[in-house]
Amino acid sequence: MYRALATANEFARSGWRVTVLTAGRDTFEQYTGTDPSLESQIDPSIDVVRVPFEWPAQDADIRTYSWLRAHLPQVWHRWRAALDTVTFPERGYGPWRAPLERAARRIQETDPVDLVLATANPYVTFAAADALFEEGVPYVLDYRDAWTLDVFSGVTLASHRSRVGRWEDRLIARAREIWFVNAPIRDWHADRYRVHADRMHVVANGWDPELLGGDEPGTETRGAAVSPMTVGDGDRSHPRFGYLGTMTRMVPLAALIDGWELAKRRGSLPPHATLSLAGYLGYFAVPDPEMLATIERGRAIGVSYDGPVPKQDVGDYYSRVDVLVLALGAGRYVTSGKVFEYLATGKPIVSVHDARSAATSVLDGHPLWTATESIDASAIAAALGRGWQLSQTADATQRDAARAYADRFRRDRQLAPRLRVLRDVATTPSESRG
Amino acid sequence: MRSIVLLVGAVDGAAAVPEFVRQAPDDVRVCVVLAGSAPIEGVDVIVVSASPLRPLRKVTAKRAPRHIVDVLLRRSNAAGFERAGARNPAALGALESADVIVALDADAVPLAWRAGRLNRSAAILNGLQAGLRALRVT
Repeated sequence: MYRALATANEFARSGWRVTVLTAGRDTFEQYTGTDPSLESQIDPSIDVVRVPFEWPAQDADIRTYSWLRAHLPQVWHRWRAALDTVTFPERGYGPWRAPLERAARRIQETDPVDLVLATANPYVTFAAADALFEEGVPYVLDYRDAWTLDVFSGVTLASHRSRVGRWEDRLIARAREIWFVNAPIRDWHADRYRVHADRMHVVANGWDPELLGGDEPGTETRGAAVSPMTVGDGDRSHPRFGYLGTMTRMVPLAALIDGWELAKRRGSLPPHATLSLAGYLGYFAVPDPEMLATIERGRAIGVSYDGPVPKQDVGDYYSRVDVLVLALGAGRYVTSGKVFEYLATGKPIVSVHDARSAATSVLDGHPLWTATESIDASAIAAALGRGWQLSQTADATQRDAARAYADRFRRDRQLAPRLRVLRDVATTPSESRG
Repeated sequence: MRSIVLLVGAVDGAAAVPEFVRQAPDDVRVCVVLAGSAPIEGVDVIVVSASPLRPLRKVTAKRAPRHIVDVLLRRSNAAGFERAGARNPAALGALESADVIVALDADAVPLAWRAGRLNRSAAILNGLQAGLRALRVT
């Protein structure tokens, strides 16, 4: 979600008049978990048009449930999924296609659009872009994930002949540009759609200086000190490890807690070391109970779950941590928005993920980075121990080098080349609506 | 003081109780209605059956027909919890007087759904976060 906000802001900063089509506030509050602090970060020049979205499968009010849903939820969910995909092949989001397209056309009628940028998932947003394409408006597809590729397993999820495949074929063929968050995902799509590969670009997530208390983009000091934080500023006998990010079932949480326990038992970490886990448990507002149980297991050995952290408090969270733990699901296509924030702190980072992960290519070269050799307790324990050592021994030169390394991954630097190219779409961007 | 009843039909729901208690505001009295014994601190606990809590069972395509039969014949874990809760006077009393009733796992939903007929005014919700939101803490 944050990538979408930052992209809209970056367009606005570059002189585009931006209208954002999004769901109502209640959608985020009820279904996905929300960070109200983000709303204040929307560029004031941006118009936000809210299109009501209902998601019956995520409705938590049991009074509205039928007998079937209460007693045979699996059957009900199958029926619901079939209903959802009647107009667009995306479970949960399909019914949003019609209202979203109507809203897009309304905007086009009242104040014509020069360019649509559709960010997914949900992929139904691409359908709205396609609707305006029928009226001559070019569009950019921004893949924050992948539709036809399982980024964890690398398995192709939809053939070209499937409904999803046919939709994606058409959307990619018509797109002005297609953006991906990392090179492995971009390369996979370039291979699948070779004719359109030249329009596929990597726009990495990057990090935002304002979120970490650093410089505002566009100022003279841009590129100087990234963050005021220091390394190893905590109590040496009470090192604080932290993980901040959404924890899905793909994150090796159980292995991390096993590794943490082993590191303490072996003496690789001081007895009073703590590990704070923060962020949503699972993709939705309802925390995953299995993950809660896993975390509970670690409570006696200094593991705590600190819940979601509002974006505006992220800098404060990082300032209270000595070593950052980057735990990610397996797979070479897996990337993370958090890896960029982690870089920006200039603090030691312990990677607990598959070495083939796209995050590895971001971190490789960072002077205060160490990674587990495999996802098992012993290797993770050793990596955590190395992370603690880094936090104790890092000198000023290494800290400066870590910040300098991070600077290349600023978000504005990821978007700038694309914005320069897209400027040609509108003859006079400052007077156009994008 | 508002009263909230948490329904726990499986191990999965029991795991969410400490998190709920941690995030619940002070002016809320929490009562847990449980399918089996499990150590839970800081809350009133009503145990409605002596059998141990079971984890939620994944219903695979292969198991689906049998599962549907079990549900229809009221032989599933969820049906057992629903029956036990409906027969337990303490649980019934708690459900009738609750301001908020929360099913913390799928096996607790049928009892929560049935509670809708016992208590016409309570918010009856599925999942920890929805319960906390009802208490206006999230």
